[in-house]
Amino acid sequence: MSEILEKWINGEGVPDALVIDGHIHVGEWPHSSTFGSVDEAVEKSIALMDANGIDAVVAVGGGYMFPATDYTLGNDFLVEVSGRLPDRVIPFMSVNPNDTMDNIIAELDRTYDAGIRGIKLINSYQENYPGDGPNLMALYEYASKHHMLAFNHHWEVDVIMNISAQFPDTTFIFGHYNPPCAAVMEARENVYANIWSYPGLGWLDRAVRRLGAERFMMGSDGFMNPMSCGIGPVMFSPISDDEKRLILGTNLARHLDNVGALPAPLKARLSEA
Amino acid sequence: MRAIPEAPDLTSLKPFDSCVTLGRVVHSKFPEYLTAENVLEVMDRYHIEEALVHSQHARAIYPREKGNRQLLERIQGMPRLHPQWVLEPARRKGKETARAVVEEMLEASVRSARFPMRIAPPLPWLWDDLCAALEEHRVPCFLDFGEARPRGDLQDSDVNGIREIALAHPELPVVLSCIMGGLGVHYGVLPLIRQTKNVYIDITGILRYWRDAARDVGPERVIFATGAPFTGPGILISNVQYALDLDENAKKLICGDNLRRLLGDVR
Repeated sequence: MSEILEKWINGEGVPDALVIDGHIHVGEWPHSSTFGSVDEAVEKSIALMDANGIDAVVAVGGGYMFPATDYTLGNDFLVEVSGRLPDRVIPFMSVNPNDTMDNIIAELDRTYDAGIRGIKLINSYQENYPGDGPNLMALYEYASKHHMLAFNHHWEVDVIMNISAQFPDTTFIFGHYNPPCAAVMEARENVYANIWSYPGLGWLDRAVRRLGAERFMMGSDGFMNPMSCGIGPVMFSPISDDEKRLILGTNLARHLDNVGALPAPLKARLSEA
Repeated sequence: MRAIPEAPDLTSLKPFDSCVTLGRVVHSKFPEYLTAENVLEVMDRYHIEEALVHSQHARAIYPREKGNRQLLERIQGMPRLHPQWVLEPARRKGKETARAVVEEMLEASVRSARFPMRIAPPLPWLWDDLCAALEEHRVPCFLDFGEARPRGDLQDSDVNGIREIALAHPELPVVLSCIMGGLGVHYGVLPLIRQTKNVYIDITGILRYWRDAARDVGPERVIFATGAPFTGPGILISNVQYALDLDENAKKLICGDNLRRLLGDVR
C-alpha cells in the first residue's frame, strides 16, 4: 500500500508531505457564515488545518465576492486574517469586474502593496461578466506585469484559450477541474487546475493519466466544505506517492514561490521536497 | 507549524456503505461503473467492509423486478454485499399485494428497500399500503430523491409528505437518501429529524449538513453512504474519518453501526 495512504488511513494525516489547500474561502456568506470575525477565523482556521494535517491554505474571499456587495471589505478581512497567520494563510484578492476599471486597478494596487500576489475571480457569478471583458483583460495585464497568479472559479474554454495565449507568462488556474478543462490544459502549458469538484469514481486517476500530476493542485472549497473532502480523493487515488505529493502541495508551492507568495517556512519545506 | 491530527483509524470505524449502485452506466460523466466483478476491489481500496447495494436497472427502468432479481443472482455468495430492492407502490389496490411483495423480499433475504421518489412522489396515501407492510417487519426504507445521479432537491411538498409518512408509520425506519441539491439540503430536514423518532439521513452527496444533524440531533440518525460510482468514495469516507467535531463513537455509529442495527432489527 501507498505509505502516504497508510498514514492517512491510520488517522495520522499527511506527515510526510507538504500540504497546501489551494481553494479555501474565508469570510462571511449571505447564506451561511463561515467565520463571523477575524478572531474566530484565525482560531478556527488553525484548528481545521491541524485536524486535517494541512500546512497552509490559499484563502480567497467569501460573500463579498458576490454581486451587490463591496469586494474591498472581503479583501480587508483576508489581509487581516493572513496578517495574523502569515505562515499558514496565503491570501488571493478578489474584484467585481462590474466595477469601474479605475476602481479595480486601485484595489489591485492596494492589495499588491499589502503583499498579495494572487487573484481569485468568480465572474460567472458576478452578473456573468465575460472572462475576456475589458476590465478583466486589464486585470490580466496587471497580473502579467506584476507576476501574479490568476485563479478563477470558471473560464469558458474559448476564453481561457485566448487569454492564456495572450499572457503566456501568467499562470492561470481553474478553480474546479472538470473534463472540458483537459483540452485547454493540453494546449496551454500555463493553465493548471485545482481539483475540487464532486465527480464520479476514478476521475482523478484519469485526469492524472491524461495530463500528468504536475498540472493539479489539491483544494476543498473549505471552509464551507470539510477540508478532508479535498485530500481524500488524492489519498485514495491509485497514483504514486510522488504524484500525490505533487498534487497535495508541491505544485502549488512552486507556483506561489515563483510569484514571491510562499511563506518562508514553507519555502524551506519546498526545498526539501 | 501544523499539529498532528488525531483521527481514528479508518478500519476501526468498519465502514458500511448504504448507497452503492451496481450495473452498467452509460453516461459521459461516469465512464467507470460498478459490477459484482469489481465492487469488492473498489471497496477494499477505500476500506469499506460492507455495502448495501441496489441495481441500476431497478433504479432506472422497468420492470424493476428484473433488476431486483438480477441483483440477487449477481451478488450470490458475496456476504459483504447486502441486497436492497427498489420498490414502488403496488399497482393493484389492497394491502395483500403489498404484503406479498414484502414477504417475497424477506424470503430472498432482502432487508432493505429503496423508493424512487422522483418516479412515485412521497404522497402518504400513495405509499400507505407498502409502508404498512414494511413497517410490520421494521424494514428500513431509503427514500431516494436522486435522478440519473444521486443528487436531488427536496421541495416543500416532499418534506411534508415524508413527515406524514413517518408519523403514520412510527416503526418504519425512513432514511432520506440523495437529498443534496444545488442550494444544499432543504431547510426543513433537520427539524423533521428532530420532530420524529424514525427519520434518518444518509450522507450521499452531503459534505457538511450531516455533521449538523449528528451534532444537533444525534449521530444515531446519520448513515454513511458514498453514492458510488456517481461520487468518488474518497470524498465522503475521509470526510467522516477526519471530522473535527465528532468523537470516535459517533463516527463508528455513522460509519456502520447505525445501519447494522437497523438491518438487525428487521423481523
